[in-house]
Amino acid sequence: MAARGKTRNNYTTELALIQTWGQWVSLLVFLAFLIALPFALEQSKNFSWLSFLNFTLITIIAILGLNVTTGMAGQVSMGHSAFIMVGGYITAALSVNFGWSIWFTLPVAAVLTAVIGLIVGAPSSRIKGFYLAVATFAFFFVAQFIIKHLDFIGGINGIINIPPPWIGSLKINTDLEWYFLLLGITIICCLLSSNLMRSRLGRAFKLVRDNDITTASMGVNVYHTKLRAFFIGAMLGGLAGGLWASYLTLIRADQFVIWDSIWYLGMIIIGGAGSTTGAILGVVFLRLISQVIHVVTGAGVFSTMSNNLSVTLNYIVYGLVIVLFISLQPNGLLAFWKKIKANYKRWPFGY
Amino acid sequence: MINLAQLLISGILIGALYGLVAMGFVIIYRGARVFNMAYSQFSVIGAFIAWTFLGSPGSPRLALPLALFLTFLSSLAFGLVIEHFIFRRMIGRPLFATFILTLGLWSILYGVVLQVWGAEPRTFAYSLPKGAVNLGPIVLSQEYIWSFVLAVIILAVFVIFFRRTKLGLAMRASYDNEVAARCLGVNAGLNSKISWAVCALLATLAGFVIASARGVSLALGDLVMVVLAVALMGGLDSLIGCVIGGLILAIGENLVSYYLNPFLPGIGTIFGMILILLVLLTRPRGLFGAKSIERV
Repeated sequence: MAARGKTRNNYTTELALIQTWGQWVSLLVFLAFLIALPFALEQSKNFSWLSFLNFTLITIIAILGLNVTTGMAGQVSMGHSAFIMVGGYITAALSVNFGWSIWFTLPVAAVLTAVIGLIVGAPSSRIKGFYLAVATFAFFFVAQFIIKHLDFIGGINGIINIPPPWIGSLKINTDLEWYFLLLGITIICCLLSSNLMRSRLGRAFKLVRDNDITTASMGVNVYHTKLRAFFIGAMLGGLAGGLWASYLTLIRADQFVIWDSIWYLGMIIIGGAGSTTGAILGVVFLRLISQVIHVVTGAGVFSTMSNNLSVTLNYIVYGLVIVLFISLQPNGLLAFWKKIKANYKRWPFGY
Repeated sequence: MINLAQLLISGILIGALYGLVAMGFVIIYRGARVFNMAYSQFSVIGAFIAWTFLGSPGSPRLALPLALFLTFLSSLAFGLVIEHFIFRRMIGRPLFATFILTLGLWSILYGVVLQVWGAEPRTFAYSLPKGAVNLGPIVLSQEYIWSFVLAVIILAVFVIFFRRTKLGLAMRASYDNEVAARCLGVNAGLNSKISWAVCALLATLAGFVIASARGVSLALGDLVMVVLAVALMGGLDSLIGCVIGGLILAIGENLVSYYLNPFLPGIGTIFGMILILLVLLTRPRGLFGAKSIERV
């Protein structure tokens, strides 16, 4: 943390993502922690930890996308789960039906999903707020319906036996290898996302979110900005979907439900809309809560098995968390953190 | 030809029911400015509470009038509790925040229903009279005729309420301009309470009527979800629009599922969503809605 009174003398330090040695140290410690985490867990002989971590990482990638569309640009998308589904299906279909390499199908899936995102975002010039949310809500169901009726991608049965990715001669099969692959992709996405926020486009997003008219009067094309937000959001969603499909090695349209979209929105709000850190915090927070529910209801820590009580409690607690955050702390967990930081900086003074 | 007439007439009957369902949704939007995504779950809870009081066909619990009275009383209480503990605090917050909040509420209520009553479908001990009515070659089911009558009566009551009574006018005034209405002595808190109570009541009524035809289950929520299509099509703030929207949806659904189902199985269930997309893309304010949607 930069102490009070510390000034920046040139543009390089001003623009640097990491500004103080304290930040460097905490970043390196955090990275070391992330790398050491699976090994520490492996010794505890609890392998389901790893699949929990992997799904969390995939969710983080997806949420970073939604964070661009909804958190930064303010275009509420309830169809994000549909983007993940579409991306997953494209990856699966290309690698199973045509035998393409995953390193080729993933970008193709991301770009194609982004194009679909453009189509979904197209009405955003005319409709706003929850009208747009309802339009994307309807899009989710229509997309699911269409996918269920396309027989060449397996129809209602979906696609199975999606081949694993590989690097050189190394096939990525185990949870541990997947963890490092996903960690790498997630870190790249986080970097891109937090840099996007500091770029011209990122500032335009925030301007659109806050006020359309001001944005237009600043010479920023509002409609194009909204479309770009949808493009980037859907692209990350598609990427996450592709990873999801090849991690699970199967994909079915029924795996994707509207509740996912709702909880993705919840994650963004709980973390703190419009910030990369907030998105990660939100995902981790809600995913950990679901584990707490598993423990409390006796379904077993990090087991994929769940009993009835844990499922229903999931609905109740997730909903409750969203309601509480919206009504009491609409700026999310990140606001807490900023408050702590501010208090630390000026301690012992109250100003 | 007879098929078409059959589809049209049963569409009109079901359409009135859809209109009835959407009415509660529109009233809460007009009265409290809340786009209530949890509305479908209000209906589900109402239907399950009605089932709790009525019992299943094998083991009836209470007589129909008493059970209905208790059901409506509890749904009234439910609406007021929701208003008091959640939405009272949201007055003056952005519309969008309340929208997300209703999503959270939807999730909570879904979980509660799943926990308390479970996922298996049930039937009422008593319900609207069942059986077929023959109008020449056209066969109609009796419960839809009853729900049609009910919907028309309730629509008339609400139209009179909003046009003629002082309270209804006050609610319209505060929908139009809340600050000005408050300055003129309209009690905004009372309006909000009444809207939530009426919303919960109508949702319960709609849930009861639909459930007596199709059984009580969580799938009821998906049926009620079509109110979104109906309300958006009619324009979010128009009661007449509700009924017209309901008619369009129901007739369209009937025709589409009859003529297109062989090619696209299940198209009827998705028709409402397609309609939402079409309406929002072509005419976002609906057929009868007021002109401006939102501040640009």
